Amino acid sequence: MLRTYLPAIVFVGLGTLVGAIFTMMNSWFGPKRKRTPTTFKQDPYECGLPSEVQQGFRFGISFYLIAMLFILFDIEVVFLYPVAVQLRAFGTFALIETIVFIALLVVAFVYVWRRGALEWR
Amino acid sequence: MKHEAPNIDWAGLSPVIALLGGAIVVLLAGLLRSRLVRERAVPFLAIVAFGASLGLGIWQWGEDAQVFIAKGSQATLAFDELTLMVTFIVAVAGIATVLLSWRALAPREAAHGEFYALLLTSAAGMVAMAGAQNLVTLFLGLELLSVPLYVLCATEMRRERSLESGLKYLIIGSTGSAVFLYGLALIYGATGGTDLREIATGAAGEAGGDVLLLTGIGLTIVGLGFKASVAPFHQWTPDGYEGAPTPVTAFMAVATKAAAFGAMLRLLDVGLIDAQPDWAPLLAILATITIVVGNVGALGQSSLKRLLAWSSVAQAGYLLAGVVVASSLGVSATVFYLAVYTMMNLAAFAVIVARERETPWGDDIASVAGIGVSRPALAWPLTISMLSLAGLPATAGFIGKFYLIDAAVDGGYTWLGIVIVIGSMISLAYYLRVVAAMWMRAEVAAVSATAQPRLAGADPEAERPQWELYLVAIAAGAATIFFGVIPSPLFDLATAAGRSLGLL
Amino acid sequence: MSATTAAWLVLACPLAGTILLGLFGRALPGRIPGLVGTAAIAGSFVFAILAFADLQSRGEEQRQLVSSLYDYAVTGSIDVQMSILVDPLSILMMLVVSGVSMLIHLYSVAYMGGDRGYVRFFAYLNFFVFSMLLLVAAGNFFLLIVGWAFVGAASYLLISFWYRRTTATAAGIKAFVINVVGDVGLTLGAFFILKESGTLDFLGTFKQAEEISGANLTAGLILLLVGAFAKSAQIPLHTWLPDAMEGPTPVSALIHAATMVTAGVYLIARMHPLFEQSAAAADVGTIIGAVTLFVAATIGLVATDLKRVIAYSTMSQIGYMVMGVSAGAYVAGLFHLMTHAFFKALLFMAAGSLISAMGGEQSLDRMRGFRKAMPFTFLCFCVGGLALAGVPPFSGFFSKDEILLVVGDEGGWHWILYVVGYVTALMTAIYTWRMIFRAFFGDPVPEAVELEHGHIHHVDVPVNPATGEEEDTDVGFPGPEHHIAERALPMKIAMGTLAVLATVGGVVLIPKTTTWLDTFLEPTFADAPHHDPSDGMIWFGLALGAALGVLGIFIAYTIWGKANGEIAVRLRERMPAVHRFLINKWYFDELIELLVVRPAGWFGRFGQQTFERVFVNGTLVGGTSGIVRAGSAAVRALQSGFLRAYAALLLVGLGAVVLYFLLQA
Repeated sequence: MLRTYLPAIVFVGLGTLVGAIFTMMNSWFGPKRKRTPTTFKQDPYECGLPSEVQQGFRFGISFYLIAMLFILFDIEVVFLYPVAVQLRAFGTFALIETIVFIALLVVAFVYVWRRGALEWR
Repeated sequence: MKHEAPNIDWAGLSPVIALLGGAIVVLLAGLLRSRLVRERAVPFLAIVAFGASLGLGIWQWGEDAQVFIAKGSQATLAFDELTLMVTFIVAVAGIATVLLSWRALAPREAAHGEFYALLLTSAAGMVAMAGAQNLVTLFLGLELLSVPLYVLCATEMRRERSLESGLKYLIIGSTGSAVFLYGLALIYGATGGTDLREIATGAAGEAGGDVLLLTGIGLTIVGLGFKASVAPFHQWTPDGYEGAPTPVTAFMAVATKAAAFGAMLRLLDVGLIDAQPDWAPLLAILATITIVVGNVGALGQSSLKRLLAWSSVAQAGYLLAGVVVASSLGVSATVFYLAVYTMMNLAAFAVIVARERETPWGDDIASVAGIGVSRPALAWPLTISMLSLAGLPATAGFIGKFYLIDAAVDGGYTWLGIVIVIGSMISLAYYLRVVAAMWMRAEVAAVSATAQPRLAGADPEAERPQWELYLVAIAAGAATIFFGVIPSPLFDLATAAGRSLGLL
Repeated sequence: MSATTAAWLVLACPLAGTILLGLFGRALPGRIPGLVGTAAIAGSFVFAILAFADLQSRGEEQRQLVSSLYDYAVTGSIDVQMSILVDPLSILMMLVVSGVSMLIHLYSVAYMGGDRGYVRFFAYLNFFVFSMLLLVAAGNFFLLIVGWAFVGAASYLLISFWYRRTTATAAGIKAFVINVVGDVGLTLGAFFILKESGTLDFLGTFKQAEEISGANLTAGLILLLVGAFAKSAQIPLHTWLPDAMEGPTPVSALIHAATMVTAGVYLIARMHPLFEQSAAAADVGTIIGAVTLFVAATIGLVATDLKRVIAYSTMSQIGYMVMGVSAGAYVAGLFHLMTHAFFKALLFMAAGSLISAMGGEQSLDRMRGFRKAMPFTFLCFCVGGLALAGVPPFSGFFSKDEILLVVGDEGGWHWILYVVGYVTALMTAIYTWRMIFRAFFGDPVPEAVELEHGHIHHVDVPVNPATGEEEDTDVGFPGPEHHIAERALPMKIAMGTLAVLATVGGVVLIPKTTTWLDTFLEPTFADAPHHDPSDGMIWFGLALGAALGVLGIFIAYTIWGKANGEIAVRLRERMPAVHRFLINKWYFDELIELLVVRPAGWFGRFGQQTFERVFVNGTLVGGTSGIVRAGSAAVRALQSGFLRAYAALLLVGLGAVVLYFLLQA
């Protein structure tokens, strides 16, 4: 019975592997320095002026909002692709479904727009 | 490759469509500039949506609509009498909530459109949850119910308690949802189906020995118990109830409970009926704990909302008795009590809202002191509500408890019946305190050096009594008495709901 | 008019009265509300007579009528209808309840005249009568429970009628709590019987009485007895009754003497087909009744509060009834119920008149020599006293002896009860006449002298007679005026009528002479075994009862009637331990305090402190209350410990649930 879970394990393993590889590629392919850097080297600017940007730097809330909205609409549009590919197979039902889906997206868009979430403040 | 479109019974689905369509309309109407539209038309539209849902539900009564039938499987959503009863309860609670929050602070702070749209969405989730015949639909309903409620709890954005309540509910609620989902996954793993009928077939052979299934049932009960405030998964209830805006509390108290118990009845009494010998004793123990914890917790509370929160925990314990026995009588008794519970709680919350706006005492018991003389039209509904919650005869609460005890005794759980009786005996202590405060104490002077700061809910313009609050309080109070004296109409509905699950 | 229609109207009248007075009572001037209330009960009484007449006109087989107004709740397993059972037993109870209530309402019209809560009083009183009539007319367990609980609620409202008086509210709560214990017993008992019989209907249950005997039936009946004991103030659930005397005197007369407290007797009589199937349950009733009648009488010997003496006497007399009906003396028990209603209501009314003359003072220690000042009250008190003491030919003589006769006829260990009954009869005569000799004989106290000069004593600052706290006369306290029977016609009529009834009431069942009551109740108790005691026993009982009554009065006279009661003082000094034991009411309150109240209080404190603190506040350091204070630190508080604690508890619960299932598997 556990064998049925094999694809899942493979999937998890593969995901970890890919993630790890991408992370490590930096150190593999990036420029390498042999010697350890001095403390001066570790300063953001070697000219000695302290950095204006603090570690706990906050982005404007609008950035998150826009980013979130982008992801939402972006992902919702992604749902349209499979339907578009198989529309003929699904028939009219899917067409109506899709129209309803788009209509709801429009509603959401109108809401977001009218509420002023798209304005940069 | 040709796919067959699922068969959708639009007429059967119409109560939910009304709610969700209403949510969209309300959301968009809330965007209009006109203040009149926002403050008058939006709540009105919300009431229309709830009313339409109620009306369509009545139209669909007896149709036993099975919507969303994909090829070769059971419908994922059933609009049988049980679902429709939950729909009625949710719709009535929704209408009352809209009336209570019409002139409240919460929708003004959170914008009217959003507030009522969230309310309607949550209601749709409740109906879906109660009607779900498929684990996936069930979980979908649960989340559709919960997420808007998390937000609604925090709609009085400038009051920390409200934010705290929302955050707490969110975190504990997510834990509950996660546990529930895990439980569903285990049940699926054990029985090989997400469909309740498939689960029933799968569980038939497994019951009693399968760890996977039993663990799944346990986790599912915990998840639903969380939503229904069953001890020991009730901790969020007092804080959540107290912090949330009072109209939202009212909605949470009655509608969520109805949905959770509707789902619990269907899942346990249909899908897992063969495992009943396994889960029933556990549920009975939980019921006992819940009754004790709820009633003991309510003793000595001075905040009315906290008191009602603990009381709702206790009532959840009574309601569990109807689930434990897994009989059609038990289902009817549970549904009947849910309906009754809705009436009595709405009456109480309407009075609390009214007094929150009239006095500086917030929801403290001092706010109702002496209203027997000054505001009899509010005192009577609250009195009726308290007596009914305590189970005094001639109120609907009495016949409701009687019915539950009968179901428990009939199902071989006489001791649980005794626990219910003893629980209601203890509960008299705190309910009567409220009644005594209303009729036997003098009104607490509004101007006082030690007066608490005016709660955010108190509206300085609203010193005058507001008719919609009186309407809700009196209608709910009158219904409590009416169904206490002539319960047969409600009985017939509850009996039909009880039969709909096909139990003995 | 058919008997059932009339019976429904019997119920409708006081209900209409309650609603009318509750809604519009305040608009009515003067004493009109009182008269409206009285008229409503009079209507009840008239319809009860009509029902009685119609029932008598039917054949003996058709004297058990069931009438259903509508289906209350009809489902698979419960079949409850809004139905009443009209049979000789319920008609007898209706007649007694509505008749005595009518007179007490009439009495109250004048007696409560000065009270600010006049309208409220009659609304409550009407509600009580409705509840009591519902209780006796109920045709199934469901309505019985409803009536039972309503009666308890009405009693609570009336005991706490002077709601600003702390002792009154405390007494009300005590009565309510004990009554709720009784309600729980009754409800559970009904469910036990339902489980066996499958129906809540009385006649349906009785029909299968013989088939459902067994442990469940016995358990159910003992639970019913718990209900009966709580309502009828039988040991150990009796402590509320003496305290209930905090209510206005008409309330004591109506509820705590004539009607409500007899509900337990009615219940046992009503359930007689079941009790006959379970000897164990019947024996419990018999023994508890016997113990109560004895214990209460001994306390009555020493109590000094006038109303409490009568209250203990009530307990004792109801002990006789409970013992009687449990031992199978149904007709005798109900006979005593009826006569007791007459003479005890009369005694209470007379006591009320006396208390009024004292300006609200209730202590026997302060009363003396009212004989000349209040001749009518004195006469009534004497008639009531003679009836209670069991002196022929007053009504109490026949009814009490009838009970003891049947109990004695049972033989076996019932002989002990027979002896206890007669010993207590002697004590009854003593404590009854103790009151009379102390209150009416001897040198008049200043209040009596004042009254002889034509002026009723009024205190300047009203005080609570129990604690001495100062009071005013506004709503929530007794009114400023006092009324005595000599000056108020309604009181005089009510007391006069009852005095006549208390004198001649025994005529309905005189041994070897009349059998009217027996014949009348025959249809209800047709299946009960008959007792046919020997002539010798009948005559012996009658002679003994009469002799003991007279002897008791004589003893009372010797102790309290002569020389202003010096012998009493000497007796008290001679036997301090006995006196202390009795004056402390056999330490029942203390026992209950120790066994029930303290653990309950501990439980309550646990709820309030431990529970709240550990589960709510304990996890709430900087939590709910902290947030208000902490202000800007709110966010931190939100994320701090207590949420985690909630989640932790959730997980503990979760673990327990899963563990349960794992152990199952």
